[in-house]
Amino acid sequence: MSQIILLSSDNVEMKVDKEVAERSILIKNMLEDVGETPDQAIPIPNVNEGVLRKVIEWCEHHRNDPPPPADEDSDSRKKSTDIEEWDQKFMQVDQEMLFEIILAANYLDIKPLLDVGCKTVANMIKGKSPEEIRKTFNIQNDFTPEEEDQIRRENEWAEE
Amino acid sequence: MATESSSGLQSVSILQEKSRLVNLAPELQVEIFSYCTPHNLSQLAGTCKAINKIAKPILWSKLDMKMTNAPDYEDWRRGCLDEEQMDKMARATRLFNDSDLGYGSITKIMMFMGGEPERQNGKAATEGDLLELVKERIQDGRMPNVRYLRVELCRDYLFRDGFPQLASSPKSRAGRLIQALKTYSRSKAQSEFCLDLSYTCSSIKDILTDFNYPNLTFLNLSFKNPIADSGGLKNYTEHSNQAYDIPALTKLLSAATNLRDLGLLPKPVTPRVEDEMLHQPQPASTKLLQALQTALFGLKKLRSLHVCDFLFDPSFFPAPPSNVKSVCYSCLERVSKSWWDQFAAYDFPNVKTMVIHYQGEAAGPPSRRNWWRGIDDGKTAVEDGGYDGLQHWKFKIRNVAISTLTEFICDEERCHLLPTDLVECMVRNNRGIQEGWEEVLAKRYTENLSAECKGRLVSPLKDQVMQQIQNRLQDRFLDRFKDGQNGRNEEEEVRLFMTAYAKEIMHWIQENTNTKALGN
Repeated sequence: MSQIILLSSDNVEMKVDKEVAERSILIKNMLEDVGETPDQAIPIPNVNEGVLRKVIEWCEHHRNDPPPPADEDSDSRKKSTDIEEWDQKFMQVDQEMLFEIILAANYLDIKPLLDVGCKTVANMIKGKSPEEIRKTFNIQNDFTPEEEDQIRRENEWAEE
Repeated sequence: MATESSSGLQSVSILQEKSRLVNLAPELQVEIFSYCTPHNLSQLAGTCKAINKIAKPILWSKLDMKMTNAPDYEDWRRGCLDEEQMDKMARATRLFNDSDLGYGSITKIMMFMGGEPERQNGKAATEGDLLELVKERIQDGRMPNVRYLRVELCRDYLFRDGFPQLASSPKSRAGRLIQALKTYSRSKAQSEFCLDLSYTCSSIKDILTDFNYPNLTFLNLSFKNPIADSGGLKNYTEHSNQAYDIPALTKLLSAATNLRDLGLLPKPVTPRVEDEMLHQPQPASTKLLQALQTALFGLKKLRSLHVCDFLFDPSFFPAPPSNVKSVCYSCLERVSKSWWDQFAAYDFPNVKTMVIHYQGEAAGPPSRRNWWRGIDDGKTAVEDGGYDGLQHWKFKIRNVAISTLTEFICDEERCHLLPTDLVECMVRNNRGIQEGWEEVLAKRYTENLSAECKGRLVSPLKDQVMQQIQNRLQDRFLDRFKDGQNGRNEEEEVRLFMTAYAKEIMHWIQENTNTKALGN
């Protein structure tokens, strides 16, 4: 099995199976453009070592996943926040890492990993009041009490 | 540390610099929030200004209204607004400016109408007000981004007022909103507006006046069975038969050039036997059915087709056009033998998924014995070995032309209502679906064979040795199936079984005689 070398933003080289690295559409397309397996390390300038290792761990575990179904109707597809068990454990990281994984998955174009990351954040929002959400995500309340009250009343219809 | 989000043009106040969520690129925030329910979004909107800017348009993007109090639908349509929530929305609409609310963000309107259309006791003065407010905004251009409408009308709602009344009645707020949306949709280019209709109509003609058909992407059409819905033959008149208006449906399908999903669902019923005896509907005109098939073939964008029960005529097999990927035929208890012959001969180009499905558990035994038998077969089912008592069909299709399937779903429990060799033909010809089905086939095959042979056996020992032979036969079947052998000779099979049985029973007697030293 041919391998390639990835270079993290902090200049650490990592050897991975080509098949694993190709979970990233960005890398896959790049390799296709080049046409042959490069000897030199491929720089991943936006992702540091720790995050890149984490992303590779995910790609290793999901190396044999079937390609996602050709997206016919992303609009009408029901958006479920269910996450499979392994991925749930994988995402049990601090918030800093969670958001870094999301950014890396977005940059490297690994849609299924991006989905898992976004679902994880959505699940952290679930069932919380505005104040609880602020606390969870370190958000400062920049509304006046009047504004806050109006927003609540505007959207009251959506409350369960 | 590389943080892509900070490179964005958005200016987030210095207050929020500690929040990763607030500093995320807007497109990623949208991605995350799209997993949130309306309730979660309403809470998010109140956290801070930057999040509000993203969450509010998502919260308002979809107006999903449920107008029913039928308990059956509660679970089915989770996540849509019930009437209480609609009243709250109407209240907010009166209190605040449109610029504060999100009407401009609405891209999708969904209306589900089922059960009782009006609330009991007329208790709320604001009842249905929201529909009125939405209608005004559609009409005066304050909701310019709507590009999708789904209307689901359920029988109970419909049959109370009738669809034509509903759609045009000045009394019905839902009807007036639908009218406004109809006008609105005509102002949009085809690519800018999609229409999903799912409803029961008393007559296909009713819907011909409704919408701009090129906008239709999804159509799930249920129509009445004239005899059953007029309360049996006693009340049946030619007038009740208007649902069977083939030209109307042909015209509709010819115009619906962008249709992607189509369901044609005559209400499946098994009429009472005595009704059938008295009244045998005439077969539909071949010419009309051919025109309907041509219209169906013209739906170049169609990718899924569902037909339930027979369509107009038990011998009319509606073939899907060439781009269809998935087909479902359900409630086939009453289709004729020639329907199945046509099914078997059609190669379903490009179809990957096929579902053969039954729903009519309450329908009792299939009734074609009296009704349709002979009409297209030219002989009675009995002569053909076709109909076995009240339950089982005994005819074969011998082969199928389709070979592209990757998924085949079929209700095993009710396979006795299908041609006896349907599953076998499908599995043999479609390599993509063999896994799992082979075992089912082998089991059914040996069971059938045993049942056949058992009838010919008189020995009181037969039950004891039968099982062993069955197991061996099952293995043999699987071996042979994997070798790709087809075309079994049934008489030969029975003979083999009997020989095996004879050997087995000799063996059994010998063993018992030896061990007990005494036979019976």
